[in-house]
Amino acid sequence: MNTVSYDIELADWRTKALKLESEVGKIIVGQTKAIRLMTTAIFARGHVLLEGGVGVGKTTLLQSITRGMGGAYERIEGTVDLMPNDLIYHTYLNSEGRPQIDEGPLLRAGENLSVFFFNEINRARPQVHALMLRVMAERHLQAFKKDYRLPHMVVFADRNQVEKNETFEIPSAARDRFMMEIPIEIPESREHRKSLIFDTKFQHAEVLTQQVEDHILQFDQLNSFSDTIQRHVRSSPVLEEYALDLWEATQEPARFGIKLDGVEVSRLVQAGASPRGMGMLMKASRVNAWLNGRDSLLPEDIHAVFHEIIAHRLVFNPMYDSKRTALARELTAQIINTVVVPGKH
Amino acid sequence: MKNIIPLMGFLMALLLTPHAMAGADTMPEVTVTDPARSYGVQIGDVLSRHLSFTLPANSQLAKDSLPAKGSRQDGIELVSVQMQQDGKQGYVLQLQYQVFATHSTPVAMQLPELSLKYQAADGQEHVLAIPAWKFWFAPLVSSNAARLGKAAVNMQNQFRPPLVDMREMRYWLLVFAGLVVAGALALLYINADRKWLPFMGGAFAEAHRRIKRLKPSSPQAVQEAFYHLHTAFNTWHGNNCFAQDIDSFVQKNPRFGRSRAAIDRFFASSNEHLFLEQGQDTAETIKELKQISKQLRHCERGVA
Repeated sequence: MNTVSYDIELADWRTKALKLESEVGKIIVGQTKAIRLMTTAIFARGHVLLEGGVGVGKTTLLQSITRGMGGAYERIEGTVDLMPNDLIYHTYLNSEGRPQIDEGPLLRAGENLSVFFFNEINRARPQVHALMLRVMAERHLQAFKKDYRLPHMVVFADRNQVEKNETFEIPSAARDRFMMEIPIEIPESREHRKSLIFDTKFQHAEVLTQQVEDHILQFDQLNSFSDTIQRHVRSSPVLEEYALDLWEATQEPARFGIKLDGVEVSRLVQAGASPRGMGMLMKASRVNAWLNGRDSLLPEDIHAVFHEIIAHRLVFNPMYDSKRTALARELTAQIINTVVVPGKH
Repeated sequence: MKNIIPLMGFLMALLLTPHAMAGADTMPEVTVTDPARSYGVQIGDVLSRHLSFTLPANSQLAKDSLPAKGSRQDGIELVSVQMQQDGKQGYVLQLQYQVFATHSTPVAMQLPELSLKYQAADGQEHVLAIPAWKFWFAPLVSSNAARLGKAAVNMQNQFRPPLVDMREMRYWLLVFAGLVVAGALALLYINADRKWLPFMGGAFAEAHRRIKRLKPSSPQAVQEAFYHLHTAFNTWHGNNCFAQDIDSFVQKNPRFGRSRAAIDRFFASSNEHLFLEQGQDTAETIKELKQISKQLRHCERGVA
């Protein structure tokens, strides 16, 4: 591919990506940042944990994005009695009164599956987590004596962070498989809140979703285009040093002079970001640079995704684990505020 | 004839003596306190007489027999008369005389005698005689004509007045002048928000100084120059300051508002050199950073 067509392809996809954001933004109000992060995850081909309360519009957001990117959308609810095979098949009596086995939500769409939503993943048992995490990593599964490939699947999982009864916390190794944890908050603007409760168009999520233009993206080309983005966006030596400093700061924040109120920082972190996590950070940063029309990384590209990619990966000392959400947010903010670039190397 | 008059006086005295003695038996006793010093009195001196006496029961002092304030005799003026009644029949009289007499030689003078009258219970009038008090008046200047005549002989040649030793005063003058200068500098320094003197370290002053010392030929010079300026921005911002933080930086530190364009230029240049690798040549960049740091140093000192 020559340079001109290469540039045209990048520009063309960028236009589509911005159109997707714009279409979704029309029906999901007050979630601009979340939409940008989800677009980033889609183009970086990373799985996403969603953080937020109930009824904030996570499902509608996902369905809208799926409609815009094309492909199939599947969903399953995490419950305490959910078993791994519930994801793969389900049995029922057919019209002839005979037992029949059909593919479950994970396999039903086959290679067309683009978005799989696992609602309240922490209500499911660890066996289910294990299967899901394996599929996320390998993107294929053997069942019914054949190999199911899910090459275009991106998993979005929601964690119920409020209720802890009958939940199974996702271990750090499993959390690390998710590229991002994106907070979906209730919009802060009163105008947005007002429209959410008074504008009748928000009463029917299905109708709302239909307003999004479909197939803006070609979901089955995203993998190859993601590689194109990664090759296209460069990083300077100064930025690479900066990324390494950030990584070390997640492991030893005290060494960088990071301070948190009421926290003994030197004892806070048991394990910082993993190499996979840092790799995902740079991958998502490159997508952010491309979305902003650049072919080189800037620190702000890293900042745009730093918290969402790093916070859920940090393993804290158990004495601080009860406050991990707040502390992780504070720590990542302090790391960005404290680690200098250019550093004096 | 001359001898008859004293003789008649003596006879009259003999005739009156029994009566006088009889009266003296019933006369109240007067305590007189005169000035302690009866010599060396000069013009303007005030002399006090203190009288205290107790009249017999049902007697009445004749107020018009008291000496009048302002009365003058032989150059001695009664300047104050104060009378207090001590109990029903006791009296305390305080008299103050001031000497206005002028004499060129010492003269014997006296405070005048007094006659205080009172009416006894039987209606008979009696007199309390207070004797005069004598003293020596001393002139302020002795007027000796002979001596005055010799004044010319005693006159001495005029000499240049001895010089006053000014060394100590000059020392203190220098000390205070030094304090004034130091105070003025301190005020100037405080007025410039304690960032006036380069060695007292504003962040941009520090950055400018370090950038000036850089050798453009060094390969690391540009990165180091950016490092110093970014450090200064971070110091003022309180956190890391990136391109997206320019608005909040200026809002937080309005003194840099006038150099907003320079700040934008710096961050754009920083991104180009450090991350986009599109920068111009090293010498030009360092020159530009030197100018920007100088401009921001002026803002820091409040003189931009």
